[in-house]
Amino acid sequence: MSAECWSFRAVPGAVREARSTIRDVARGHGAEGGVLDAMALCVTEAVANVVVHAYRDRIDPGDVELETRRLPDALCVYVRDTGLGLAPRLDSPGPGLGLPLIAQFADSFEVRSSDATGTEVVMRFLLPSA
Amino acid sequence: MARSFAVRWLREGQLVRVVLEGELDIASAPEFDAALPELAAGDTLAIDLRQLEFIDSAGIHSLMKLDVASRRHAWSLVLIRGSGGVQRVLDICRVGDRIRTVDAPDRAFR
Repeated sequence: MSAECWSFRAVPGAVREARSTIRDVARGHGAEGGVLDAMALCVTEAVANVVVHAYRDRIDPGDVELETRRLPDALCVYVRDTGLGLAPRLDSPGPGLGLPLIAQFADSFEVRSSDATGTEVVMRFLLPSA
Repeated sequence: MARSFAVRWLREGQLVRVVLEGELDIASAPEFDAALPELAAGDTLAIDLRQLEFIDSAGIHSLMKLDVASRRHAWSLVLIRGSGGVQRVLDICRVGDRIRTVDAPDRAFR
């Protein structure tokens, strides 16, 4: 199992850096077409959630970490932060479509969160066997 | 670094056609929101998605805000259908239930 990891400052431009990175990685693992589009969208949404929500209690944002792990039949993508964790937000500035889109486009996904460690979104995309 | 988003608009009488190119996301949505011209009651704003290569939920949000503004100020909003991946996101989010969508600019007027 091969793994790679990147870190970005959690500002709006991070979504483009992360999207470009996941496209490059996914192409390297043989992804194309709709799978490539799905990964780009899901990583964008996960990173945007970090940008908008994770560090809203801080003046300076923290980091967002992107990790990929190649499994025999899939690429597993992790998006992590060390922010607030899941918490209700009545003043949410977005349309609330981020996680539903991830649920629609990833083959599986999971959200792990605690106020001590932040949030981790784990997304799995099926690929041709390595 | 290559520019990843561009917006330009063209007024033809009461039709304002806005062409989006590249990637509309949380980083570029503010540029899109700020670029639109003043519209008057009776105008039609056509957002041309044919050259857009990517859209995320922030882009969808910008379109939905335009839908609200169009209803409030009595101008019309229409989308010119995007390419495969972009249109798939719009379809999944059921944007077409709120905003009229056509295949070509000459269909923008009812």
